[in-house]
Amino acid sequence: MDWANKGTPRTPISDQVTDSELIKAYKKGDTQALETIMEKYKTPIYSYLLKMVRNRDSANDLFQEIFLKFIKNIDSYNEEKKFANWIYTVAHNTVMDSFRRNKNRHIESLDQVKGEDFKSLAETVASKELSPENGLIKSESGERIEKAFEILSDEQREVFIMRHYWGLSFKEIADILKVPIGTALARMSRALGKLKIELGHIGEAV
Amino acid sequence: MNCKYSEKILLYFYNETDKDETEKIKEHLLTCVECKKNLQVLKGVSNHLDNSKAQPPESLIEGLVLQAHKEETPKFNFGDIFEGIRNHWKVSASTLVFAALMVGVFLPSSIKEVNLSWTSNIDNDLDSLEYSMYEEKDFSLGDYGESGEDSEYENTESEIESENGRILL
Repeated sequence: MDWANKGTPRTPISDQVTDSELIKAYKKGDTQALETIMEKYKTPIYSYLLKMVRNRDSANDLFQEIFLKFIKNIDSYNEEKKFANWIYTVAHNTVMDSFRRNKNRHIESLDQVKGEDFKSLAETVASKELSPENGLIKSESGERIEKAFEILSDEQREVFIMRHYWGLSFKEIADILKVPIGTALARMSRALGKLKIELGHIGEAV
Repeated sequence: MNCKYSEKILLYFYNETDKDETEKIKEHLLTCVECKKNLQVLKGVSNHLDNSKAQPPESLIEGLVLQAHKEETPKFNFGDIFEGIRNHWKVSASTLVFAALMVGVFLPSSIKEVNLSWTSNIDNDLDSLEYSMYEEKDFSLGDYGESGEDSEYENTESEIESENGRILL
């Protein structure tokens, strides 16, 4: 089987208007441009947050914090640089700050998360709106993968999620993390090794 | 034991290898069980992550948009001016040169024409005129003595008499 081209696309699907044009419009007071930007980045950022903090309330708070930073500090954004990398750097720094703030944070067990999600699952099934956007664990293999993710360190999990949800290259990830590219690759390689042990032949099963 | 290709497999999966590397990795995968397994796990996890994308509640987005309306940035900024100059630098530069030439030609001549009070030497004439008047006055007062302001009204009796005498004569 040809495994190449199986990964997520490098760049997110964009509308006809570029990020740069949207930012310029927003700086001139066009809040519609802001809504378009948020629409574009809400899923990759929120998915990243949920996988990092594993708690919806915390993910909501951090999501709000990230976009408030964006709204208030938009003038500090250098338009010659890629906007995606700027906003993702803000997201990464915000998560790291929250980890530092809550050094004694209690990582909720998967059971707790499942408890919340099963409640919302019942609600969504009842309203016939079951969709991947809900971020629910829908299969046995999905549960096993979530459990396997638990054993990864924050650093290992983060590289995995950044690469997948943000579609950044390893070089770009290394730049955001301020580490050499070899370190970013090594973190993901170790993560994959751990997942392989935990999951066994899950790849064949999915 | 880790295969030396373990990190290259990641680059390969995410299309970050060039053509030569891709061929080498494909060949390697034919014989390396460990790398093949890594690739299977990677695919399984990727599928799961694709299916568990999440979106924030709409209320959160609405709240942020409202906040943005409050923080609305000013519609005019100096960045626009600089950008305009940068985009039309030829026009800007020629305008600047023309303005500099105009200033260079007209400003010095207009300065020469202006007769400023402190450069006109009018005071010199005034001083000499005043001085000559003062001299004349001094001379005219010679007949009446030098006793001050009132001296011109205080002629002595003998002087008045002699004056009257001259008239009478």
